[in-house]
Formats: sequence, C-alpha cells, structure tokens
Amino acid sequence: MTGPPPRHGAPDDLPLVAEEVSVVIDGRPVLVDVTVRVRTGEVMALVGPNGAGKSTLLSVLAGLRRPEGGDVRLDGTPTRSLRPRVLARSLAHVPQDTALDFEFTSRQVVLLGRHPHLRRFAPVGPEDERIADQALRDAGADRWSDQEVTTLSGGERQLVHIAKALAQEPRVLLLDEPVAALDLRHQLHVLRLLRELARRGTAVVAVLHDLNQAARFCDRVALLHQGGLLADGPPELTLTRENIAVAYGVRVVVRHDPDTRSPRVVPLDIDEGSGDTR
Amino acid sequence: MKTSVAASPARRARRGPPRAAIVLTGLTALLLVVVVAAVSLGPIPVPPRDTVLVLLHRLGVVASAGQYELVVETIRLPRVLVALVVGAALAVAGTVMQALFRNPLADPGVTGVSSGAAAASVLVLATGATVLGRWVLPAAAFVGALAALVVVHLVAAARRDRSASTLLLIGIALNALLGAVISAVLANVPDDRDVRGIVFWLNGDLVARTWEHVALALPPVCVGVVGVLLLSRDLNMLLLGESAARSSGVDVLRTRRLLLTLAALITGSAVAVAGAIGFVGLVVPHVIRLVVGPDHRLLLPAAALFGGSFLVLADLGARMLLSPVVLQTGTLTALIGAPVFLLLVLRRGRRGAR
Repeated sequence: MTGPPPRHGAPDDLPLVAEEVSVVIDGRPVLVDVTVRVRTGEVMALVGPNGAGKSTLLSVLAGLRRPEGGDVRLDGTPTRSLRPRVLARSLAHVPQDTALDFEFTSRQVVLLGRHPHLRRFAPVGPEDERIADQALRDAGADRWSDQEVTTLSGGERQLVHIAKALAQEPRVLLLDEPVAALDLRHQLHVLRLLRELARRGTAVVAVLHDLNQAARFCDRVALLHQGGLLADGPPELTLTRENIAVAYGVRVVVRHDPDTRSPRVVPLDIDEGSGDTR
Repeated sequence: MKTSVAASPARRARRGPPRAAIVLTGLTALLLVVVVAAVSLGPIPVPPRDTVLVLLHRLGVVASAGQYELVVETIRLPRVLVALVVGAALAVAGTVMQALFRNPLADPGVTGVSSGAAAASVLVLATGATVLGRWVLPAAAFVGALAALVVVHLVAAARRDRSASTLLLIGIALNALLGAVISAVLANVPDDRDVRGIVFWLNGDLVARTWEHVALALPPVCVGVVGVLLLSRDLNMLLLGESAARSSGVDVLRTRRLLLTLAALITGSAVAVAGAIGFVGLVVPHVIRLVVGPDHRLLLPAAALFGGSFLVLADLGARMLLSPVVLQTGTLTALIGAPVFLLLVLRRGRRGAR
C-alpha cells in the first residue's frame, strides 16, 4: 500500500477544515455557510440529492474553487495562501471527468502524480517509479499499466486517476464519485481501499451517490441539502428516515443489515406530501 | 516489494534514457544529413564533401573552405539555417499550443496565431515603421501573435469548452478577421512593388534569406525553446486538464501565461523572418508523438529537431521539385499539411472523441 507513512510532528487530526464556506454560481447560492472538518483516519462521505452542492464542496475543499465566503484551512493555514505545489503534497483530488485526448500510458499518468514531490528540474527517480507501480497495484489498475489511457473504459481510467492520487501520497484524499463508473467488483475494491487508506492515517472524503455504500464504508456521512449541511455524523445518526425524507423527498425505511452490519436504506416511494412519512 | 518488471515489451521500451537518447541522436543525425543535402543541392551543385568542408571551416575546425565557399556561405547556408530555425520554432510552438488548449488539432496557423503575427507585421511593413530598426518587424510579429493567442485562449475559456470544433471555429473567425485586416492594409499601400513583396512574404517564403535573418530569428527562438523545454513537465500536467493539473501542484494561471508568452515569442520570430508558413506545427508534433508518445520531456526536443529537418526538406523541395517553376515553401508545407490535417480530423471523428 502506498498509504503515506505516518508523519511525525503532525499532531493535528483535523488536517482540513472548511469554515462557514459559501459559494455563489451565476447568482445562485450553491453552498451556504457550510462547515466541514475532515478528520485523519476517517472516511467521510458527502451525500445528498443532485444539485445539493456535493461536488462544489469537494472542489472548495480541494482548493480548486475559491469560496465567496468563509475559509478552507490546511493545518490552520488558509489553502488560498498556499502555493499549489505545497498544497498538492498534502492534498489530492480525483475528479469525476477523467477524459484525456493524449496517448499517455496509465503509468505515465500515475507518475504525473509525483509532480509536487519532485524538485523543479529533477527527473523521475527509481523511488518515484516504485511508488507509482505500487499505487497502480493498490488501485487495481496495474493490469493496464502500459496501455494508453485513451484506449481504456471510463471505469478503468477512473482507477488510473485514483492511482495517480495515491502516488501523490496525500494526507487528505478527496474523490468525486470515485465508484460511479465502476463495476461491482471494482466498486468494492475502491471502497475497501479507501477504508485501508484511512486505517493508515489518511483523511478520505468521497462524494457518493449510494447511501448504502456510504453507510457501510464510511465512518461519517455529511448529508447536504440545498447548499447546507442537513446532518453530519456517523451513518446511524445521519441516514435516518426523517433526514432522507427531507433531503431527497423519498420515503424510506432504514434497517440494520446483518450481512454488512451497517444500516441499509430501502427506498419505498417518492414522498409527495410534506413532512408526514406515514 | 519486488515484482516482475521485465514483463512486457512496452515496459522495456519506457526505460527512459536509452530510448530518448536513440531518438534524439537519430533526429540530430537526420538533421545534419538534411542540412548538408540542402546546402549541396541547387542550380550549382556542390559536392557534399565540399559542403561539409565549408561548414567545418565556418566552425573553425579546418583552415581552408575550398572553392564553394561563396555560394555556400552567402546563399545556401543562411537560407537553410533560416528554414531550420523556423521549422524548429513552428514545431515547438504547435506542440505547446496543443498542450495549452489540450487539443491535438491546435497549431499556430489553424488557430490564427500566425495570422496575428502576419497582420501586425504587414502593418509595420506598410506604414514603413520598419525604418526604426531591425527589431521592429519581429517585435510587431510577437505582439500580433500574443494578441491572437490571448484572444483564442479567452474565447475558448469563456466557452468552457475545449472541443476541437470550438477551437477551429475560433481559428476560422480570427483568420478571416485578420485576413481582412491584411487586405485592407495592402489595398492602401501606394507602391505596387511593395505589395508584391509583402504578399510574397505573407505566403511563407525563404527566398533570399541572409545571415541577418538568421541573427534576427535565432536568439528569440532559442530563448523561447529553452524556456518551453524547462516547462515540459508542466506541459504534461496541463494535458490532464486545469483542475487536475492544479490539484497536482501546478500553478496553472502563471504557467499558462508564461507558455502563452513563449509560444507567441517563438511563433512571432518565425513569422517575422519567413512569413506565415502553415502546418509545420501540426504535422511535426503528430509524427513525433506517434513515435515517442505525448511526454513533452522527449516530445519537445524531438519535435524541434524534426521540425528543423522538415522545413529544410520542404524548402529544398520547393526549390528543386518543379524548377524552374517557383514554388513557395509555405505552398509545399500546405500541400503536405492540409491532407494530414484532414486525416487527423477524420481519425478523431471515428474515435468518437467530441
């Protein structure tokens, strides 16, 4: 595993904090005063209906979008005052769209993840190559290491980009719908990988659509609704019938699933009424 | 942990230095052969041995240059060197623009950047501002190229769309606009002989290039190419897209500004001495990419070397193929480049990529 070695002298177990961030896109408030604390050793899911602001929040956390209000801090330093190189050594982001028009091999793409760790004109060294190969294996993308990414399927390319993020050896890993394009096996592989990374001390945040995956694989679920945080906590406390009814407008039952030993959300019907779920 | 690394041939192939060394050595050798051939061939044939002799003399290796010194020194060599510098410049500019716009069809000619340089040059040529100094023309070409590049970049960014068709449409609009500007300027030039001269230069030509042209183009092109080479890793990162590059540690805004300026410098210098020679920046990077892949650390130097060879050869072809019929260098590159361009469009279409 390429999990970053535990860094000595990094006492803060809240490496990344978004403090009351607000984002306005084309005059429309997309995020309103959202506060999120990303914790070391934890897999956190960002869930919510379409348009709730999940991807926006993720790109704000990644420093890719500057919020109109509030601040994102890495170890207490506002990320907007950090140089991209410095930020990228601690923080990696896996985008949703990974299309590429140029014929890099998977391995070349993954090696690009070493960029923030390389000195300006230093070549890629054997250590970087080793880290890249390990990242490819960890992501389950080593079978197409030498294939050109232009020839891969969307799911395969997604795994390559996850490998690239791993090669970056971040303390905080942000993923935008990492399993959306994957088949069942690769979904489980990636979700297990996220757990393993968290166990090794990485802070992981993933936008997920499947509430049951969030319930099963994440320590914490942040439920977004209309640009705000409706709930934030362990899955048992956040993925409740009431919360889901409010956020999604769907009537559900939440059961305990003995096979996965986690809550399981079963959608019943679209909730036409207001509030009353009976 | 050790794993079997020796496995696939592709893996052996990527073992960096040797392969890069082979490619670059091969391309350097090709360039030398092409240069000697181009200097030797012409209305007065010079034996290749004597060409080499003059070249070595010029470099101070041998004392005597032999009987062909005059023709080689004053006529052939400067023309060949201008072709070499311009070819390398356009190939590198094309490679950079393809990465900047994340679009394999970008090229100084197609996007209207060469036209920008040409329009600005025509403006100073027609107004006679060139009497102010030798640097006026290249400076104008640089400014024109930069302005065009910035326009292309801004429009493409505003559309939040990096599809090939968008870029080509911007190029069409810009080329049409700048073509109109050039026509308007030419229509107002009082002396017809000046017009003919400017038109000839516009089409991209290397006739009667002197050492002065070499001296004019070489320094800025060298600065530009070295600058771009130093940014080759950032170019690789930019291919991933803006946010991916940024989250992997690239200062995208700064890098992009720097690259736009360098690309304009390179294109402007080339256009200033040779006019708008098209398609070099399209054909050369593609051929090289087929051989070495998209990694700019190898792609850029290889494209520079091959671009030099390509234009020297194209110029030789223009001089020799239909002699005494005059073919301009830019005509020949268009004859080669336009079909290649169409082929690329077709290939992209079939792959279903936007």
